[in-house]
Amino acid sequence: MQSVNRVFLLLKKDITLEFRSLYAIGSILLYVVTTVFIVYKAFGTLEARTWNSMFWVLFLFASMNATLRSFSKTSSENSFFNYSYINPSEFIISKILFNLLFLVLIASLTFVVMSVFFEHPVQDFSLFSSGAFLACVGASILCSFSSAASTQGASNATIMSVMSLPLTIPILLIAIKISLQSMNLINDSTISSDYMILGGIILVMFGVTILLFPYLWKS
Amino acid sequence: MKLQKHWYKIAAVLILLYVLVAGLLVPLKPGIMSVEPYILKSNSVNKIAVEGYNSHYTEEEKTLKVWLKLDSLKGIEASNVKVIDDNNLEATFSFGSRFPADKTTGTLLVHSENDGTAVLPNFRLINQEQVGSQSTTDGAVTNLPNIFYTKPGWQFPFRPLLHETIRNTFFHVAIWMAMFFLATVSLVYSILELRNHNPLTDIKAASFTSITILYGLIGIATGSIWAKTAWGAFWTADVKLNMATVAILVYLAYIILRSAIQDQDQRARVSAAYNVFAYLAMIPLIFVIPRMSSVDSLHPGNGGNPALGGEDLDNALRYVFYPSIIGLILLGIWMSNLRIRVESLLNKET
Repeated sequence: MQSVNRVFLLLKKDITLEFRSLYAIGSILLYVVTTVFIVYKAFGTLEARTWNSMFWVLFLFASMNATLRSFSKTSSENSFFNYSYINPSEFIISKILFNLLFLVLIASLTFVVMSVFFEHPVQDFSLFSSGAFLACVGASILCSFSSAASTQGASNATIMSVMSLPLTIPILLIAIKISLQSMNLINDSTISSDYMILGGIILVMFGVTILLFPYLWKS
Repeated sequence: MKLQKHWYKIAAVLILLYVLVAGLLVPLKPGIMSVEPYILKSNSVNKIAVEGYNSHYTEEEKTLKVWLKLDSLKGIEASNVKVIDDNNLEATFSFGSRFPADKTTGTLLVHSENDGTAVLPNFRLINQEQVGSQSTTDGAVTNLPNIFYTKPGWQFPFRPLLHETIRNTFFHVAIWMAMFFLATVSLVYSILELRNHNPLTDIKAASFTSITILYGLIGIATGSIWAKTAWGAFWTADVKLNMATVAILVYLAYIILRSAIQDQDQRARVSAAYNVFAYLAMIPLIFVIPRMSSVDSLHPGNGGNPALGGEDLDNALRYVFYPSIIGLILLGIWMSNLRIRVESLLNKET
């Protein structure tokens, strides 16, 4: 129970820091509106299938941009403090939760802004949002892991995108399939097994991240 | 030269030589290449031209029997068999009554004493009404005689569509198995590297990973050539192909990651952590997703297809397939060791 409290304390600290500057939220808002506007000027109207692919591509790059900084914010003195006082698993779990909140915000923001410019083709909203939520969970674990690995010492944006891009493919592929189903573009009666695979991948990634993070942290 | 240090290289060469010779020279069992027409009508005289493969129809003319198998007990015998040459014959089925209503396909059997029984499944049966008054009722459904057997001896099975390309099992399938072995070795070295930092374990993990990637690329290339002949295209929308591509990309990212980090200590730690992550993320990609019945796949054992093993992995194939895996693993270890030596020498220089 105490460790759950500590995780939420760390999460609260991150959120407070974020609201103090509003830098990340503002930059994401700007990013999403700009990219959707470019897509709007380029395409005019979007078919359902194109809408779906544009949504996921925008989401992927926005989430990369946003989570990249989740560790680079901490200065070296700060990380030394963290290292000596905080349990690494609690630390990474709070980071994952923070990134998850952020990614959910990005996904809903992208959805809303895209629905303003183009009519959204989603028929089954619960299916779409649950698939998108699972994709957010997977992506937040992955991005937290790779930004933790890449921002040790010299922070490098390339390393993070190299690490996380190929690993996001399976998560995004299943999420895209679920969202296609929610738009009635494909008819698949075995969609529940896709949820199970996605959940399994997320669980494996979560376990591995918790196991590996202490090794990545020591520098 | 110490023999204890080099025995596995000799074993690799010998085993792979055996695999090449046996895998390419052992003949296929006699089979049926094609049948024209691929359809049989009731109440009429059906003449079908059968093209055999590796068959000896002229030598075996006396014992040649052609049957249409309806189920495990019943069948129809061809009323007349005319041999044209070793690989071609003409069989006549004249069948008066209707086929049983629940049978829409049958299996063609061509049997002779020395060649054994060649099989062609999914022969279409069509019921049609009697035309005119002439009766052709000399053929009827009878019990199948107990004479059919496959040709004894060491030969690879003949499968429709695959034909001679079944030999690619020894190279395409075996190299993927060897790739998984090498990836696992690299995983073990990465875990060791995370537990006790040692520059040599880092080099070992990286070398095994680079050979893993090489094997993966060869696996894709051999599979692509096989797909061209068996499925008609170099690349198909097969889920296993997509997942294999993702796995290769994940491992290529490992190489890029290593070259992107300058600091040696940090590179060792980050790339080891990434390797563990990549391996565990790759397992569901290749082992779980393609096996689900909900996906489309042409691979055996995937997308609800029957698995390799059982009927597909004939004992004759096993004698070459298993040694091929072992030989390729030993070759991979050999290549990795060469890379380890090069890398550690380069390390000493700097």
